[in-house]
Amino acid sequence: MKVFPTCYIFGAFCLPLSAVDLVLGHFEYQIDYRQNDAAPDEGWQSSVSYDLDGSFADTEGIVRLDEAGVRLLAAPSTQLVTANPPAGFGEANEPFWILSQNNIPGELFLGWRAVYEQGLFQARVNGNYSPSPLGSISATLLEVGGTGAQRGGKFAMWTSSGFGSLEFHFNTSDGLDDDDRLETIPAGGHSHYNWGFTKPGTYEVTFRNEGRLNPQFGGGDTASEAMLNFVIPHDGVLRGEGAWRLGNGDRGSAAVAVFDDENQVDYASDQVVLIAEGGEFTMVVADAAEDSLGQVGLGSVEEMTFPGDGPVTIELIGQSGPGSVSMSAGNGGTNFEFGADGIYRVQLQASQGGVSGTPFVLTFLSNLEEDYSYAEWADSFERTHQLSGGALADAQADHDGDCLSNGLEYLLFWHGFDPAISDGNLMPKPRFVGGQAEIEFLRDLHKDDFASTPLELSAAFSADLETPWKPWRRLFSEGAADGFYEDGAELGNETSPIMRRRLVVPSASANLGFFRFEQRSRN
Amino acid sequence: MKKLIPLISLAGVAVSQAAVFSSGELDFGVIIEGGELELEGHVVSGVVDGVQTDDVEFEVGDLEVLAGADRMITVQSGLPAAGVNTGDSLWILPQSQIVGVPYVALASEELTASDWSTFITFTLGSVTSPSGSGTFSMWSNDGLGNPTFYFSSTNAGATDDNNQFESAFSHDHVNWGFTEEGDWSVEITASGTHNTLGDLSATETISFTVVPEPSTALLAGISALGLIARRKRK
Repeated sequence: MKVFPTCYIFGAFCLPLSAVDLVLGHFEYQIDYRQNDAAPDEGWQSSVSYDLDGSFADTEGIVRLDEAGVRLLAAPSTQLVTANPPAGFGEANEPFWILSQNNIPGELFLGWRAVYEQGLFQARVNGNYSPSPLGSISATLLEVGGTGAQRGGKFAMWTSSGFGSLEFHFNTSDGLDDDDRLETIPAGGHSHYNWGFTKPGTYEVTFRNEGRLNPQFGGGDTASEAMLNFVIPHDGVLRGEGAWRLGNGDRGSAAVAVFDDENQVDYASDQVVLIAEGGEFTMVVADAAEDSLGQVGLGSVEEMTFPGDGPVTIELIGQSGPGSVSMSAGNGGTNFEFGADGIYRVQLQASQGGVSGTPFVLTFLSNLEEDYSYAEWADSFERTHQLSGGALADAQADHDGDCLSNGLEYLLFWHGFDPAISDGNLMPKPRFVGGQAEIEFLRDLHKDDFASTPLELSAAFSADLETPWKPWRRLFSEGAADGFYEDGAELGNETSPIMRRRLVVPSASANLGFFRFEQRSRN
Repeated sequence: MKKLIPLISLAGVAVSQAAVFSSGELDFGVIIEGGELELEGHVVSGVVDGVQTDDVEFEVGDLEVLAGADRMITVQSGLPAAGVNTGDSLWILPQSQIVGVPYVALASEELTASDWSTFITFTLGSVTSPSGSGTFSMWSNDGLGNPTFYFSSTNAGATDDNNQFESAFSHDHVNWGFTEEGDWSVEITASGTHNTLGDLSATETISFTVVPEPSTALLAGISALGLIARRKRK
């Protein structure tokens, strides 16, 4: 987690300006108000908060993050498709996403919490204020921006209670008006809601928090705005056809971006799955004028060109998979055909005149789905290397003797691991940033969804390689104010189920010496 | 079980020793104390005996959760797990926070996940209803309003896991359903396997009263008599 040196002091609250991606766990959109007679509007403070001991049952140990630096990520498992979406939100048989009001393992459990002194505000009921010994504040939805909204996505927040009745507090499906308000938020109020989105992309949701002070405190209205940033993932899958932008990969820039024109998103080649339906996949050249709203794993794609003129040619320079791979011109683009079902890595290189770009790898699945199991992965690699059936069946074994278990190579697939080739050198390396060590890696949420998949990707540490390895905590740590041990490391503004993550090693600990990734079996 | 003290009366009414929780957020949660698992009632922010109360723990047996007459609905379609048919009455304490209504959760978030090799399981035990044949149920609704029943005192087979609710070191607000007015006793056991302490469990009985809300004077009287038993957090 990047922690900037500036610390905003707000009374007893210390609010480090930080940037962090949150994809699971219990967090709150927290509204604090401290009485400020000289400048009432400066009494507001919004944040995304969590609790050091994991409990929101008391007011101790609250850590507040500046919501401007927090991205609230929806895990792929939050996606639903139903013939009966909530009335007034979503479309039948079209995907939409819900961050649930229930605590679902592997997903963000986002609540709404208000902390202010009782008796400061008047109570608001049905739009009318009255002096009150307890009082309440309100929140009005002002605006929803971001690429998700640009794609026509809608935002809503509702509760489901009793016998299934849904009460919408915010819903942009019917536009914004005075009904888009959470009218009565009592002091100490804490609730959980369903947060809904109808398109992938980013959502910048702006609220106005407001209240009327009791007469003894001036009786005036006071308000402040706050914005929550949500990111709804793309599928990260193209079926049968796609488009690519080719560059020379000069100075670390991408040599290829895979463009999904339907969803206006560009992917890095290691964060997208290309499914060859019927064993075929066609790539066309993306029109340079086609804008993408989002990038997954990439920065800007505007500079993806070759320096010269003339046609760009593409050459197949390597392949790995259980069958043959052929590449030909056809269907208006470059046609790939695969001779057997399974997982293929195809290495390509683009050239223009005498200039060759950096080679790149595209991953195709021939008649296989993106959430293939360990067994399907093992079967594909067994056939790729003509191994006997079942040679890779044991996820705990290390077939190629590179000190990485078969299961770990499956979980870290996107780093290029092959369970039949000794390739431990592909393990992501730590780097040192701002005095702490970080290890960037690609987490495939199809393979480990944080909740229910059979295998779990974890980390472990040992002080000296002799002391037994101990599990490293997932994500954020109890008892440490900056204890985000795994954070997002995304390039680009949007996400797919293949997430670029960062394992963070806190700088000050005498017990931390060596780290490794581990696989664990989830019961 | 709720204790009555017949010698103490206010306006000729037998007064309960239990503190009455009538609105706000209440967690029935587990903690470790002295190497043992304990189930306690934590008033996060609510009204106890008419008094605003924040961040106070209670012995479960010293609390009585009130479900007022305004919590009653008339069921539109039968649900076996809740013990109701179309047209029946059902009192519900909701899983969403409504001002003036108890907002009750089951919680295990004060435990440290890495200290345990299992999640915490809450299991429904014996239930005493006012008539002896009422149904207590507990469920949550998903974002589409579909219920998943976790507890049913008369139809365990209709629940998700035979009257067991798994808590992953979190807190979960749920709907609590009662089919008749009166006093209810609901026994719940929390259990799990601690890495060093082994199998641990704690059983408590939660008291619910499904009636119209008591008068303010009665609540004030209970408070004045100092009958609120608070648990000191160690």
